[in-house]
Amino acid sequence: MGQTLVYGILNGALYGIIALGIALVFGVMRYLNLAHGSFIILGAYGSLFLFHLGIDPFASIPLISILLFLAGAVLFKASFSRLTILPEGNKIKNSLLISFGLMLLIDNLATLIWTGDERSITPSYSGFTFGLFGLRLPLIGLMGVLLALVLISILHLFLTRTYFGKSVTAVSQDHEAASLMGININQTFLISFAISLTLASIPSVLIGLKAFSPTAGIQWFNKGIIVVMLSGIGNIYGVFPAGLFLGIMEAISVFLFGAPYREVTGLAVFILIMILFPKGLFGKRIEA
Amino acid sequence: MLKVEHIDVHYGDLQVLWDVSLEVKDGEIVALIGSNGAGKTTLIRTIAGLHKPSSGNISYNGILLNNQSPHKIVALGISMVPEGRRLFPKMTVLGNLEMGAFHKEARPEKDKTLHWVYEIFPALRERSQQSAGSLSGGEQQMLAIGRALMAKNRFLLLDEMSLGLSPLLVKNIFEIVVQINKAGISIFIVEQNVPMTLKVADRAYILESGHIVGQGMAKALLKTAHIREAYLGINPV
Repeated sequence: MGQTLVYGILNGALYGIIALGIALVFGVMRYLNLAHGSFIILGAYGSLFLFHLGIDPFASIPLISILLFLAGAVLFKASFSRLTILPEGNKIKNSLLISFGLMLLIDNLATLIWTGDERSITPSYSGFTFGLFGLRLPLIGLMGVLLALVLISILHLFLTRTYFGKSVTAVSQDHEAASLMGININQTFLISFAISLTLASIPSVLIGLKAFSPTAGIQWFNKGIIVVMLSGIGNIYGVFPAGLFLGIMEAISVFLFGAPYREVTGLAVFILIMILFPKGLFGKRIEA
Repeated sequence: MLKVEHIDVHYGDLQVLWDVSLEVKDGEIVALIGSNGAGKTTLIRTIAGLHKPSSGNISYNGILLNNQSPHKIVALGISMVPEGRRLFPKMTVLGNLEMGAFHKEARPEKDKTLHWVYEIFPALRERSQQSAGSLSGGEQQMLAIGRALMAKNRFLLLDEMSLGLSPLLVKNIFEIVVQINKAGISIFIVEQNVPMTLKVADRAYILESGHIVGQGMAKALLKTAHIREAYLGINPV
């Protein structure tokens, strides 16, 4: 049971970081980026490429981050920027359409370039585990949790301590009023979108170290969006605990009913929570 | 000086403003009065850059504002207090005020301006750490005005600021508007509360169904039969 919980927490941390990127874009601009998972997979291929050049996957995170940031900025300018003036409901619908197209494009290009084979980054420490109180703690999973915590702290400091970060919060609460404060909302949207893809770099490497194929993105996006909903829309700080919650629920179901029912249990818990707490687990508390 | 020259404004196919012209000289309080749906808010939002005129020109100190985005217009010296206050409800009072000083020229002087805003609205200092959403209606309106003042601009657009406030609070707020004007800030005010507005304004324009149908010195307008009948409910004797 203890070991099950450990795996649940490690998986949950990964779900949490995936969801953070989705939540940032959804919370600030009401864009739903279906292609977020595809970018994670692209990042994984990037990390695999660098690994073959002799660069450690964790050391490749900064470079992957920069590349994803630039990709996000260009992509936003090219496609999503036209949506900024639309009413909220239309923004969600149109961003869904655009990002669905993007997802198909990226997934199929990835299949063309790298074939549909499943890949994996395999450094020498792949299977390394620590022993603690009779539990096995895999090194890579622990690194994931650590990076997730660092990332959330950085994002928190950025949103609460810098003028630009505060303007992101203002735009998420009322973007028209924010524009009347002299905030360039298009720029805020662009940078938030780029940061959201930057946040994909850590899941890129963590998933790269597991296993991935060109079309795996949507599965990870699904986990992410479930966590965003569990946490409550617009609440960035609830995302990580909600990720852990989903991870642990899945782990418990594996323990009780076996691995084939993991996804089912995750979705059942999700539906149950949406019925009991329509605003999500943390919908009312600290919001950003 | 703010100059609006012959502007038409459309929402899609629907025309809302026809050939509207007006001007606000430095140091003036100019009011735009008219009934619900006359297009007052559309006009003030067009000046702030939230709508684009389909023809005509808007300029401030000789610089064309027509195709500027709202954040550029703030940087050019015009701030707006929007209808319905539009605060950032989950941010603190201080956080809202800080956002008001976002644009580059205002930011270095933030602390000084904050001191001045707290002098005008002492209640905001007491509530600085409270969330904006928890304030009363009157306090929210004060915060909305204070937030616009934080931009250190010489021109203020006020849209329906008396909406939903008690008569006593309305009187207070109008006194503060005069005080702000005395500090050298030109004011363009859009209001449904006609008697109060005409008492504090220097000049006023009357907007009906998207057309400017009259203008003049505010005190003189108060005495005209049309205003007394249509807006004050007083029958001519």
